[in-house]
Amino acid sequence: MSVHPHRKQLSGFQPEDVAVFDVWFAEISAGLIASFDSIADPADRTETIAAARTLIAECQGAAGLDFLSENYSGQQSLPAWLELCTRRRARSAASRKAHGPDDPVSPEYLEKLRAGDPGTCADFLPRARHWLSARLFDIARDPRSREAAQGVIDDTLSDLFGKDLLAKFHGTGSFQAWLCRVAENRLRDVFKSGAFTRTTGFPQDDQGEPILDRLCPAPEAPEIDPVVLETLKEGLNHAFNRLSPKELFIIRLVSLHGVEQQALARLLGVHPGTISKLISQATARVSQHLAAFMKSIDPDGDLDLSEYVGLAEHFRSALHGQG
Amino acid sequence: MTPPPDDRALGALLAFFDHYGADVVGHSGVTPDPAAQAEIEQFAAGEMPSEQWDAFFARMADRPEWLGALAALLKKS
Repeated sequence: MSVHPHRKQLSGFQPEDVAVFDVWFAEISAGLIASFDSIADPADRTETIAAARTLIAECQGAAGLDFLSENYSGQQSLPAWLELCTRRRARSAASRKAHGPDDPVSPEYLEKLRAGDPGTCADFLPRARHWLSARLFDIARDPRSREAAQGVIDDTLSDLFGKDLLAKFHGTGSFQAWLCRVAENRLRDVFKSGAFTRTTGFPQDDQGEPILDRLCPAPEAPEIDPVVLETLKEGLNHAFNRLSPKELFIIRLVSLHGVEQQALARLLGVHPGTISKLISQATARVSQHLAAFMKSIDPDGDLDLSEYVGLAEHFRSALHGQG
Repeated sequence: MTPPPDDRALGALLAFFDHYGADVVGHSGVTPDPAAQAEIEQFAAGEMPSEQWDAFFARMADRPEWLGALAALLKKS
């Protein structure tokens, strides 16, 4: 796979070349802010330009050289990568502004919830419903999808107590972010299931099929933000390109093609446990690299590996028409 | 056999990566060129000297769509 010349140039800078690097980076980033001047929505433009300025500041000097060396993989030009990071950060900032900051839930509050304290439950349910609606309605935009999202919200809130879903929260990270992730993963599972089809809310024919769907079929799966798609692509490049050819060889054969680990172990003259261990370690490293990548381009974002997997499966389904 | 969840997750990420990141058209039904096919058959039969493995892995990393042919041979044996 080819690496962009910007990445090669970047690799050539030594720590003592910081002044030269700063001049080089200033030329590279010069057009970034100007490119956002054409954003029509004033609030979006302001948010995006602010994110671009912050990112450019982070990329200057010795710390900036380290930051770029660690995080820019060279799968695209540096301006394109900077634009992706900027858009992703601006999108997160706008989302936080729209949905409000994280709503802290203290351990004591959680204890009361687990104990079923009536006053705490009465306080919690409308708050949680608000968080989940804000998150799921962002990705469910047509009437049928929204109906599915509403069902997922009801089930998730009910399972918190009825099926003791609450016990699965281990207290690491934000409870709100965890709950939203659980609900979003459930909604993505609904979208992937064969039983789910989108409608447009337009009149139906005598077979009960939406008329507009026949004239203009709905896509196989809900639309995904192109910024998310680009982020996912770049993150996976970042992670998989750090694996060795042997690791890629083995995990492609086993995880993609379904080759038995024992057969591969026999061929390579190793114990099957060695193959299994290699795959586990590769998975862990991919996960770590993805997490580090996400933090680097969007320090306040909360995408984790399960969401990456959900997105990748979603794209695979769409790609192969299995929506 | 259903692969364990970690395998499936990794497979989903890899399939996405190969399609969008590595410009791989597909993983099945892609025929390797004759030289690569001979090499794949040699490896699948266990006849490739181990000192040639690293170069072979590197070539397969550049052309992951050829691995479908190797997987088919390994599943037959």
